[in-house]
Amino acid sequence: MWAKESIPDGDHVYRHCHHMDVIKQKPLRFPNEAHFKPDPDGLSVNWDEKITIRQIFILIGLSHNRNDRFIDQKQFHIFRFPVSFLRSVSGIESIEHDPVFHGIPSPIGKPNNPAHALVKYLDDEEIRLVLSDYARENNAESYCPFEVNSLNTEIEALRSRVPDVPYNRDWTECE
Amino acid sequence: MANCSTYCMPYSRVSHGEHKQMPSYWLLQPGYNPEKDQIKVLTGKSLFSDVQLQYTDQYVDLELTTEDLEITLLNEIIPVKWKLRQLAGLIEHSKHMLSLEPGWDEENAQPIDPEIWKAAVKFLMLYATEILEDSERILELPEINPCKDGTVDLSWRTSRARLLINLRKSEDVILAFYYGDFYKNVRPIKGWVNTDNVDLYLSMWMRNLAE
Repeated sequence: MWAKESIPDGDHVYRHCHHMDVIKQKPLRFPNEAHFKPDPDGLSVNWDEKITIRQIFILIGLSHNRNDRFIDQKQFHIFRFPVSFLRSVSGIESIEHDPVFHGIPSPIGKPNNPAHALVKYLDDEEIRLVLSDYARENNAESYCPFEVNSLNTEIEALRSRVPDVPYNRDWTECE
Repeated sequence: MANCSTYCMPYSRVSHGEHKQMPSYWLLQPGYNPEKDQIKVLTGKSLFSDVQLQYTDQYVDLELTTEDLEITLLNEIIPVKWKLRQLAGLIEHSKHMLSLEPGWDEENAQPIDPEIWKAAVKFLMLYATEILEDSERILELPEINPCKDGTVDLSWRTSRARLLINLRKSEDVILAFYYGDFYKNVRPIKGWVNTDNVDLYLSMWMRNLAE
């Protein structure tokens, strides 16, 4: 559906983080190092050229967990990382656009995602520490506060209509 | 009843004769008088069992032993030096991660391998004890964090240095992989060690994380 594109150094990627992985040291909030354990294909992120913070929370709320239940988007925080910084970290191999398409419509609980990208690296304690500390030391730029409760009604309405919603189709009508 | 008025620590009001169970590290917060360390458990065998509290007006009198403690790690009891009691409390608190179910991060997180958790906290206690006995210094408390692949992180960020240790299996043997520095990649250390005995190089470096 969506062609892979090259992500410029000047752009950013978002990483959504479950609250259990977030260190809260008032006034700071940042992901702990454990959060940055990569999956076999890399660390999933979202390219800010293709998605907004609001849409990320909606995407989370329309996704299923392993028990086939909709995920509670309120359990997540979002952090932003510069692509140029990520590419400067020794051991990070690449940041690649990797749009996710499951069909039109995609199955319930598996929304499509034109913004998906992968930060590719092997599991490494140094990389994980550097990523966590970036968010801590640049917290004002990295942490993305958002009134996620403001989306509750909208997400419930979307859930009642899936898969007949833009997020399970081609995103052309996504706000 | 023994005179336990040597020290009064503000806590919470409790009813006369009420038993209250709490994690020991909550009992040992900063604010207790270090000169009054000669205190005894009123009841119970360790700080992790029920402690009977004596009700007096606005304060609860506690008497806590200065004897060495012991903690239970699954099916094994290990001794704990009195000066490492806060670390013991942190380890007790970390047991919660053993009850994490698959998908605890709402995605694909695995349950924490109890063998790895046990190895991690024993490793932590081993190094803390070695540093205490060799240098009379107390290792600062780390974070003990579950990882989605079922492994365990030990993480320190002090004013001086930072260190991350991950315990995981490598060909069925649990090893500790680490990276540390004085921030900004200054004087880094990186590598892995076995978990059943102290690596002196790592231990010496970890004194940078001790008070």
